Amino acid sequence: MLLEVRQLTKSFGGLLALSNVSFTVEKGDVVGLIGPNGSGKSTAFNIMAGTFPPTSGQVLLEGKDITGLPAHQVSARGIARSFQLVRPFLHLTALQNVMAGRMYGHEPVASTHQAKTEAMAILAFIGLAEKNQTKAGSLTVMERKWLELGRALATRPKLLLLDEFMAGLTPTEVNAAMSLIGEFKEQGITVIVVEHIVKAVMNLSNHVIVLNAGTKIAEGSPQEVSRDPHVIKAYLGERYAAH
Amino acid sequence: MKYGGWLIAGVLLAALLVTPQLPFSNNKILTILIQLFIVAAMASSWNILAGFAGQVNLGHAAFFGLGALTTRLMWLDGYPLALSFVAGGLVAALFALAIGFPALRLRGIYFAIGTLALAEALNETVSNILPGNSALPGPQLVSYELPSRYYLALGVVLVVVAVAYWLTQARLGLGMMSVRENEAAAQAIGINAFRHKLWAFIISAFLAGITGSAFAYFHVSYYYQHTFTPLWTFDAVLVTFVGGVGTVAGPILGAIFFVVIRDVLATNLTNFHQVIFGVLFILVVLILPGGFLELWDRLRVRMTNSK
Ligand SMILES: Nc1ncnc2c1ncn2[C@@H]1O[C@H](COP(=O)(O)OP(=O)(O)O)[C@@H](O)[C@H]1O
Ligand SMILES: [Mg+2]
Repeated sequence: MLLEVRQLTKSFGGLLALSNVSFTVEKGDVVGLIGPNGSGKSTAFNIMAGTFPPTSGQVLLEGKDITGLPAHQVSARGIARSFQLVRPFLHLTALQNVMAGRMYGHEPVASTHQAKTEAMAILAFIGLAEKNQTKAGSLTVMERKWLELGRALATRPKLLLLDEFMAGLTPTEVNAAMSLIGEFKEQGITVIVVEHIVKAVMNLSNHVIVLNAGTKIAEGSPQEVSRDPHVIKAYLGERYAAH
Repeated sequence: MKYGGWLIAGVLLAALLVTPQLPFSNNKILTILIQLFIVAAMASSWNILAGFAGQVNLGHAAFFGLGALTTRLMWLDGYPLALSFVAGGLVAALFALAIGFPALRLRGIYFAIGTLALAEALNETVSNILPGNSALPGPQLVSYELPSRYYLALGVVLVVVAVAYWLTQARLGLGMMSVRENEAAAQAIGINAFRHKLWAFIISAFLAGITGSAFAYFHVSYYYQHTFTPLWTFDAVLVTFVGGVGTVAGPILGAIFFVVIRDVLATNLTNFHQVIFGVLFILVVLILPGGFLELWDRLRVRMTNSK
C-alpha cells in the first residue's frame, strides 16, 4: 500500500470541507477522485501535499505518518502535485522551472550540470524542448500547465496529485495528457487525478473515489461507480449513466 | 554570461586594478570610485535578498551601520584591520540571523515595514549611545593614504558581485528565485522557503556589513549614526530598481549612473541627484520594470531584428 488516508476531516471555520474520508492507494494505481464543485477534492490534495494540516485524521505514505508535515518535507518524501490554478515560476525559463524540481524534491541531484541534462529530457517528454529558454511568463496557458507537470515530475515522485490538469485542454491535448499519464505506471509513478471530464477519468483510472459535500459516497472500479445510484444522483446525472 | 560580457568585465577589472597607479589618477578620482564601489556593493547586496529571494528589506542600512561600527571600533582599538573587517560582516550576519526568525515570518509589505522599523530603532539607539563624531586619531591620520582604501572597497564590490553571480548559477540561488516567484509552488517541489529566505538575508547582511567595514576604513571623520541613516537603504533600493532588479549587472549599472549624477554632474546642487533618481525610479516602476538592463535588452533585440 502506497498511501493510506484515515478519517480525514477538515473544517474551515464553520464549513466542513471534508468529513471522515478514508481510502487507500496501491502502488501503480491510477485513482480518479471525482465529485461536484466544492466537494472537497482540492482540500484533500492540499492536506496530502502538506499545504495545510487536517483538523483530524491521518495521512500515511508507505506506512509512515506524514500528517501535518510542511509541504517541502512531503515533497522530499515523494508526493508531488499540480495546482488547480497553475503556478509556474513566471520570470524563470522553462528549463529553470524544471531544473528547480530536479534539484529539490524527492531524489534530487546536486550537480547543476546533471540537473540541466535531465531537465532537458523532461522538457522533451512534455513537448517543450524547443522552448527551454523561454520564460514561463511568455508561454501559453496550456504550455504552462505542461511545464508545471514537468516540474512536478522532475522531483521524481512516488505519488503524483493532478488537480484538474485537463480542464481547458482541447480534445487532442486531452488525448496527449491521457497517454502521458498512461506512461507514468511504467515509470513507477502512482497518480491520483481530479477531473471533471468523466470519460477521461473512467478510461484512465483503475479505481474511482467519489466525494460529495465533503464525504465519500462511493468507491470502486469505474464500472461499479458509474452504475452506483448515489453517484448518478449526486454527480454523473442520468445522461452519463444511460451510456 | 556570454563571451562579450566576460570580455567587458575583464577589461573593466584590469582598468580598475591599475587606476591608482596611473599618472592622471588623483584623490578626487579615487574618492569618487570608492563611493561608486560602496553604492554598488550596497545595491548589489540588497538585490540578493530583494531581487533574488523576493523579500524587500527596508532596513538594509542597519547591516551597513553594524559592519562600519564594528570595524571602526575594533580597528581604532588596535585590532588588525583584516580581523576588524571580517568581524564587521559577521556581526551584521548574526544580526540578520537573529531578526530573521521573527521578521521573515512576515510577508511582503509587512516584512518591509518590520525591517524599516527595526533599522530605525537601531538608528535611534546608536544616536543616543554614540551621539559623537568618530575621527581618526593622530597615528592613523599620519599614515592615511587612499589607494589601500580604494583596493579594499574594490575587493568588497568584487566579492559582492561574485557572490551574486555565483547565486545565479547555483542551486541555492535557483531555490531563492523559486521562492520569489511563488512560495507555495516552491514548497511543493521540496524547497524550504523559510530557510532560503534566511540564507538570502544572512548573505545579504554579511555583504552589506563588509561594505560598511570598507566605509569605516575609508572615512577620516564621520558621525557614528551616519552609517545607520535610512538614506543608505533608499539609495540601494533606487539604484537597484533603476539598473535592473533581480539581475547581476543591474545594480552595478544603476550605481554608475547614480554616482555620475550625484558626484560628477550635480556636485553644486545639493540633493539634486535624489530628485533625478526619484523621478527615474517612478518611471522605471511604471514603464520599465526591468530597469536599464531591460532597455538595453530591448534595444539589442530591435537591432538584431533590423539587421
Ligand atoms: N482555504 C480555504 N478557506 C476556506 N474555505 C475553503 C478553503 N479551501 C476550500 N474551502 C472550501 O471548502 C470546500 C471544498 O473546496 P474544494 O476542496 O476546493 O472543492 P473541490 O476541489 O472539490 O471543488 C468549498 O466549500 C470551499 O469553498
Ligand atoms: Mg478543486
